[in-house]
Amino acid sequence: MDYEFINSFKKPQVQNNWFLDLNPLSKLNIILILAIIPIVVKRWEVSVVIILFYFLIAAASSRLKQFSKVYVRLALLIGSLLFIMRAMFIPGEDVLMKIGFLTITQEGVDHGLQFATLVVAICGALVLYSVATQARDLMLVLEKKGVPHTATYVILSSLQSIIDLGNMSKLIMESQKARGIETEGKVTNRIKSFFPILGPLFLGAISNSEEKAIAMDARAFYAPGKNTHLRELRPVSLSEKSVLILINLVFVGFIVWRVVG
Amino acid sequence: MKKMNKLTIFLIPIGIAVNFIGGQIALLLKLPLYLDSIGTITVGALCGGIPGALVGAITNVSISVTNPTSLAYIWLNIGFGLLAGYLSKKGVFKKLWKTVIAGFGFAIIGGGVGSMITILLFDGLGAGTTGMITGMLMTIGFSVQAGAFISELFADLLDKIPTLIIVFFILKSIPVRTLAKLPLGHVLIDMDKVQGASRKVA
Repeated sequence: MDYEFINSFKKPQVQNNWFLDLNPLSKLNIILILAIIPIVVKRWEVSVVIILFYFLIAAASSRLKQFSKVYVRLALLIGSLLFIMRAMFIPGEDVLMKIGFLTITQEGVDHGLQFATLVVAICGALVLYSVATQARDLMLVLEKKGVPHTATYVILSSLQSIIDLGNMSKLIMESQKARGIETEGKVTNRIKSFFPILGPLFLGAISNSEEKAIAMDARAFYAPGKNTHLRELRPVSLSEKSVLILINLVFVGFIVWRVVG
Repeated sequence: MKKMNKLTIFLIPIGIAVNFIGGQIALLLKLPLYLDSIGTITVGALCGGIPGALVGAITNVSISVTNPTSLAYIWLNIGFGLLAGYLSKKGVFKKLWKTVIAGFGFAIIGGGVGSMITILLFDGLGAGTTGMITGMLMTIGFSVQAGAFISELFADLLDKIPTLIIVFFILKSIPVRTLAKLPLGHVLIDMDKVQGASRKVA
């Protein structure tokens, strides 16, 4: 018997990293502040600093690889699209160059740079939070705060269903190809092949969920009593609480200073 | 959520997953459509507006992890769910031609509310092909608002009518014994067919 594994459920499961082991709501608070700062300040330099700061946090919590894998591609795609579109289409006086019917102006470039970095900075907050927090931890905290367990079940179960149905769809696609349904070629062929793939997938999932509902009912899913949990979260320490309050106070002060000043 | 139909709770995750997978299959087959609201509309039609709206909301929140701009368009998917529930109550999904006409309703939500969000948050120039079309329309002489509305209405109409046709056939293929357990199943069950079948058995 693996006693170490069994005993690990007796105490809070930690990952031995100061940022990852913060309470999920404390993390949410910090990351929300990081996302709001560029909205308030509206300067591209600040957005870039915040973006670099995300990478710093990701590195400090040893999640740099996962974070940059998602974020770099996303930032380049969304950022460049938003920037190019604004640079090309926003009218202005200070013309930089003319290509065909497009006139690129200084105003367009400035606005594009500011807006693209702002959106990329806000996106970064979401990506960082998803990388640094496990969904089940967040749901556990929410359940402790009074969210019904059916709601948290729905969310966790959907994340699992996406993975399961994704694998299933690949399987169905291969089998339909083997049966001779064309998934390549003309657009009409490809549209026609959509239904034999999605149809069995969806109908199978619906009849599965019927069985699941009965199985869960038999396991007292709707019992009115209080749930117990296999997983525990570390209690929020006094220092974590006080640092968080301090950060929030500084942030509120900063907002007030920006609005008044 | 306490009073929700028991089967509904287990169908919401399926709806969310189908939204995802539908979009992915459309990408894999290189179709020029999104097809990413099939789950929302089907669950809305089967279980009512509120579960449909929940499917839409959770879908957009989960997509936002890989594409955060989708969080801004959460209202669209909520609207699709609510509208699907309402139309289903009226029996729209029982006839194909009514379902196709309903596509215009969904496209107006998609184009109208969608372009409003694009204008408010992205000044009308979203990151995507519709943003490109908006930009082109602006250079021809349309205002930002008109350009965004026209391009997004057009893109949504192209997407929602095939989506609804798929939803119609999926609803038609769900067995009666499953429909009978769902909140709006009684609207969708074709009574003539059921009675005809029972007469045949007798």
